[in-house]
Amino acid sequence: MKVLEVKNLRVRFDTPRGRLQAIDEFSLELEAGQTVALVGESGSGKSVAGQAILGLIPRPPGVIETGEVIFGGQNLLVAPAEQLRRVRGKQIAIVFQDPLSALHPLLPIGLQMSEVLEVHEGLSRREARRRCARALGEVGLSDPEQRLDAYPHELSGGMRQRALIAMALLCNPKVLIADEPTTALDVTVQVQILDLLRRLQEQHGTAILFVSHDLGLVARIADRVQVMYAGRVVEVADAPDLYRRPMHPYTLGLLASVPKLSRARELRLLPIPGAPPDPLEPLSGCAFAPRCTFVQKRCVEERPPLAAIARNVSDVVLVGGRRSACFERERVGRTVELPGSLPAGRQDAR
Amino acid sequence: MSQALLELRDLVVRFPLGPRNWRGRARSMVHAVDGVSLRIERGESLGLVGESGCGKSTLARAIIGLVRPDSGSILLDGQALHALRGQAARLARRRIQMLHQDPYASLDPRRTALQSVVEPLAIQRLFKPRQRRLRALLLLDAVGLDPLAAGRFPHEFSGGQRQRIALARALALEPELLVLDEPTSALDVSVQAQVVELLGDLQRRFGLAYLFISHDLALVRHLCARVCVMYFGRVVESAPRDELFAQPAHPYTRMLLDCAPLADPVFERSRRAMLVWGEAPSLAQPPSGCAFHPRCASRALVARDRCSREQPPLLTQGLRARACFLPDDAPSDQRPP
Repeated sequence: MKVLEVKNLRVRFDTPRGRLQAIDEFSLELEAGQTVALVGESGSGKSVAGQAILGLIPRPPGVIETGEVIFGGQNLLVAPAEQLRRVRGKQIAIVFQDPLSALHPLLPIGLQMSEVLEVHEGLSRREARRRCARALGEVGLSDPEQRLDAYPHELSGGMRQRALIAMALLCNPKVLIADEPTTALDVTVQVQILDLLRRLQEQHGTAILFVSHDLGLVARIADRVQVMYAGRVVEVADAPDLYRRPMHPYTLGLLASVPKLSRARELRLLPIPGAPPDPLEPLSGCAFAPRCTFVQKRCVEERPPLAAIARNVSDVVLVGGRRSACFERERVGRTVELPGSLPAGRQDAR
Repeated sequence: MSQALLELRDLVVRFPLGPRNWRGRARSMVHAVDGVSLRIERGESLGLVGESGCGKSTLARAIIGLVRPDSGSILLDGQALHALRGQAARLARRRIQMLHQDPYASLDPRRTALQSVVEPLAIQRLFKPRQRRLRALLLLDAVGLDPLAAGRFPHEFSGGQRQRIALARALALEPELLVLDEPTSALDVSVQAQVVELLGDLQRRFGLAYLFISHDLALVRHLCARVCVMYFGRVVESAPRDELFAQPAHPYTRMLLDCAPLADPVFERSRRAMLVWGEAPSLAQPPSGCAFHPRCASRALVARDRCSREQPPLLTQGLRARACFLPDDAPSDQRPP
């Protein structure tokens, strides 16, 4: 069941230095209980996409040029503010990257959490407090009753992020947007948070839009992955397919850049040469072309559309709507099958 | 044993905590680094791994002289660094340089790339001004930056390029040891890979020794020949790279390895929920005994009160060392009671 659909979203920012096309032709489908990851490096537009869904782009300088965000049968982008307020935090919730700046430093956690329930569900403060305590317990905080009276600075980074997740899930939202929810945390805590998200998702059937730059983390949680580059989606695939047989040179480059635990010595990292394009400079052709090893003359002149991929590429049957915005995608897909996507890789690591 | 390039002996760094009394002394002290001994040989790359707050950055800062150790010694070629004065101290400082985590903060925004690289040469009064500039340009070229861009300011460069400038600056004095404190954690993956490969090349080219500090085990495995794992101010395990990754001997190392994300959805999906408990303890309230025992998956195998009562010493066995009461061949995955 489709719960959220974004169609052809274009967002730009009018900056003093010129027009910055943050995202272009962005589309997304999210089903109940599904996790879709938006992956990309800084400046790829992944966070803007997540925030635009909830209408959190400041306008000005942001301008939403075209597009629809369809949720519950209505287009959120044109919905009146009153209606949007009823969706935000209740049906679509968001967890931000930095829990310290997402929480009010001068109010106890409990007060900030119970406000959500008082506003959206009209609960009394006492009843709301009880629900909040339960929610904190559910995300694994010890002594939830006492934690309600703690101020954000009294909690560790991991605990703050858990509290934010608990807050986001208070009203059982249908969609949770997690914008780099573990970036500031230690690996051990990252893992706990991801497992927590996965567990809560199974319990409540929440759909998660997981925004991240970390392909390792994304592998742990995502069912489907959308790779973004320079404001556009360049590849969409089910997670296992994407990691095993990337069909866009940028995805391939990203995967080859990640240091692996299992086979570090045998393989040099293969960095992507160069740097992402300046978003203020208008581009003709493929934005990745200057850094691409598969580049053809056509790539510089024409922008490759995000097109569906034939189901059968060199003996591997690919399932479920793969798309890649690359003229050479078949050649990219044939070039490599990345090793290490076998559990055996893990065994020799240990 | 031959003389190591750098040797730390029982290094302790403490910070005051909380309110001070009328004499300006703090009531309690936090042991950020609590008795660390380690050696780095010439041309060796040593990885130092641990969670935030384990004292790895404080250790780095102590080595390059940014914080004063409370006890213990730092020996460079067998000479205690903090005993050196004047000219000798300045010469010694030349031999250890540091690359910081955040290239947005570590470069002076009002100096051009060239000026930033020339500065250490000027401070050490090496060469004539003209030669300094020439050397700086060569260095910028060596780290893969276009010398034609040398007149630009930091804000005109990307994060990866800035880290290259910082690297050229650290290399200007031809150090023997480079302390790298999470040098790529502020960078995007594809750029991180560029910098990591560059670090590897430079090491081979100049015979540098690295102390590479990171929380990313995969990265450490990629770059370092030997790895030390720190927890709560102490080294809990050290071993040659391949041995550490093949057979982690300390339960904490195992936990870190278990947590490290693998870019592999098939495997990630198949593995069960993590055997991780809790977070690193607060420095203000150190746990008794082994600092890791409240989170330890294997402590059930030892007489339990021993872990919570005594601090296990770091025992060396061949090339490896670890600080744990567990028997050597203990199975790795035991749920606690």
